Amino acid sequence: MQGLTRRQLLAGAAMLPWLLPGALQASVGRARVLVIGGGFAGATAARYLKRQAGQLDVVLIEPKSDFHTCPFSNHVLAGLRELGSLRQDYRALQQQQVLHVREWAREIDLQARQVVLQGGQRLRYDRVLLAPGIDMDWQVIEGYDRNAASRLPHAWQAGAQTALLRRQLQAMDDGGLVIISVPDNPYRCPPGPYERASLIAHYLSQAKPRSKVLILDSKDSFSKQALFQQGWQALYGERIEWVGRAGDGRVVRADAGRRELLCEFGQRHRAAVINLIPPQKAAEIAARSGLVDSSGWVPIRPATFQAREAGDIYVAGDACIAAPMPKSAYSANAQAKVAVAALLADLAGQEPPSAAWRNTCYSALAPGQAVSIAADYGIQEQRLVELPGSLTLSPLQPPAGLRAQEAALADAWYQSICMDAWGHLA
Amino acid sequence: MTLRLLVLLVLAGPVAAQPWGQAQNSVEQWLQGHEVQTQGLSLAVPTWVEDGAFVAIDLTLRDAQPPVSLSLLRSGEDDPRIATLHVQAWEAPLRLSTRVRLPRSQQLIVLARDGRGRVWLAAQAVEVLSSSCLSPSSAQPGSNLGPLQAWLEPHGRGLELRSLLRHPMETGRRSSVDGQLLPRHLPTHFEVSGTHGNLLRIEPFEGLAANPYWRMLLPAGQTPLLLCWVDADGRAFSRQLP
Ligand SMILES: Cc1cc2nc3c(=O)[nH]c(=O)nc-3n(C[C@H](O)[C@H](O)[C@H](O)COP(=O)(O)OP(=O)(O)OC[C@H]3O[C@@H](n4cnc5c(N)ncnc54)[C@H](O)[C@@H]3O)c2cc1C
Repeated sequence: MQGLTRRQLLAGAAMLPWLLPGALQASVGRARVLVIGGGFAGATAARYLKRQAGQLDVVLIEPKSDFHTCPFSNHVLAGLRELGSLRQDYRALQQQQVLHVREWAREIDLQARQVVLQGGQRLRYDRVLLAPGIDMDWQVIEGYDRNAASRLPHAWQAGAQTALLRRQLQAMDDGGLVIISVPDNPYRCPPGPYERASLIAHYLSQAKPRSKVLILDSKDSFSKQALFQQGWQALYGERIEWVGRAGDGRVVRADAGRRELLCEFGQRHRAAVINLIPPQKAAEIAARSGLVDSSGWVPIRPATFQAREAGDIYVAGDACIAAPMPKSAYSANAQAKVAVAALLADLAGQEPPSAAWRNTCYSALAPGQAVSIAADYGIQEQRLVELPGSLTLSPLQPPAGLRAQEAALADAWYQSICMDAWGHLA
Repeated sequence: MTLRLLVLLVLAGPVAAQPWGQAQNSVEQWLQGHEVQTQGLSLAVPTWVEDGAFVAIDLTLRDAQPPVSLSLLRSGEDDPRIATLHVQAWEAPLRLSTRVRLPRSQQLIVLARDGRGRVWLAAQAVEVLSSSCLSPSSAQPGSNLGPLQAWLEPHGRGLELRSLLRHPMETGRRSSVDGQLLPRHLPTHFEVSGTHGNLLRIEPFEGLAANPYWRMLLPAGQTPLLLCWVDADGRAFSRQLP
């Protein structure tokens, strides 16, 4: 890790508090907890379950052996990082005696209290921690399906899709247009598309000076809008154009063959590179297990992150309805800890500890320049709420050095959260 | 059985003495002396939203006789009105979509009355889980108005019309970034006419979301259509389709 002082690293670590009191290092017996999904929420949960209650039988079901984080994947698109630098694996968790089953979980059989794997094998459980993240909703944009995504990448799950979009950007002629299509709320990482536009514009300014970025947005406004638009103007001039819903920015149809998009009020756009981020929903296993509501996401009991309809199933991360917390890695990590604390308390026959959360979303405007938005969350009248007055947003007129300081903090946060989730080898 | 009791039983919603909150008077006036139809009107709206500034709703009314009047209301605001509509013709069933503004969790209420004097009521609670992470934390004054976007395409035997006017729909209750109260600024009405005359007239109120959006299904054989929004100062935004 470069350029990070010990103080910054500590600041990063302090952002990730662990709230379970030591007293609950509890007699939870040898219960078996199945963790489904080894992303930010699932890896954090598996690690903290084992750390807090070593005798628990913790099984992580995750088909991948290598996980690539979405955070900092926009840097990869801009050539500022290698894809490999986003790679995480499960070796430290295995060393901690978490059993990693490298398979897809097909569904949770709530009646039998078993998880059915893709291959048909059934695993018994006492509790499940479900953290499968998102799936694209392929039903919304006509003509946009898995096949189309191999020509018009979403790159909204990191890995092969990130590499594909990067290659397309590199292969594009100077002067080519890059379109980023953004869905309506709710979706993973509200400021993510705008950070992406910033970093792609940075890449273009270096490598394809005649190229532009056009953002076609299904929304009328977006996260940190004033900060982004001011940054774009200052750093990239006219290189980034944002078209909101009122300007006919909502894409309704895609023609992958022609690399063409059709918008709601009839405008057509062709581009050299199209990054189509479609609407999303909880990963499929959630619906197949009967846990989602009509929105496609999983309702939870906010104090414990138990599925509203199934008390033995805890759900954390992007798959659950935790609004007003955004769907972020920061939130996923914090929610996983609350869920683990509640799950352990439940196994030990105790009341769940009271929970409080914070989220910070950093977004890069350019290499070494970032802005952030942060807020605290708590439970009021059994609802998850944003605590009044807790919102902080980077100022529009920053004191000298602030954008650079926030970029360093973002790096520190990223290092800390990855270590907090996937651990490190002894 | 009293009318109110009937309504409560039909809706099986949260039972309270004043089930419609600040919309109570408007609802009572609308229903005065009428029996509420138990079937025909349905409202599709998410049970929770992240952003109360833009809540998408779809409504469907079956077996109604023209002309139909509709009132869209919300239960939790000083001014409960969202919009009033008068619809002369449609491709059955009557289907409309728009976006409403719900600053907090509350009931969304739709009232309908048709040419035979029958009345309908549909309501649903919407939970607003608003996150300041999603949208600008304070209002930005609507800098520009228009254009009126519109699109017409075949849909079954009829035509699907979608339209959106860029407009701040300023309520006079919001503050700008520097703390100044933004002056009230709402358009007066929106009209759609076809070859056989007026098809639809809408009066918008505070509860209609900024950049008012309307989608509706119209009968074929009405084109060309003329769409026209009229702003508070009389300025008109018009489009002819196709
Ligand atoms: C471009 C981009 C930039 C971002 N930047 C940031 C940022 O700077 N800060 C931030 O806080 N957040 C950021 N995010 C958001 C962040 O990536 C997500 O919120 C986070 O990954 C959510 O964690 P999760 O555990 O819910 O899901 P994921 O991390 O996606 O993990 C889900 C895991 O579950 C597995 N899985 C799914 N289904 C099954 C199944 N049936 N059986 C077994 N395993 C299964 C998947 O393989 C996957 O490994 C960004 C997102 C994007 C797209």
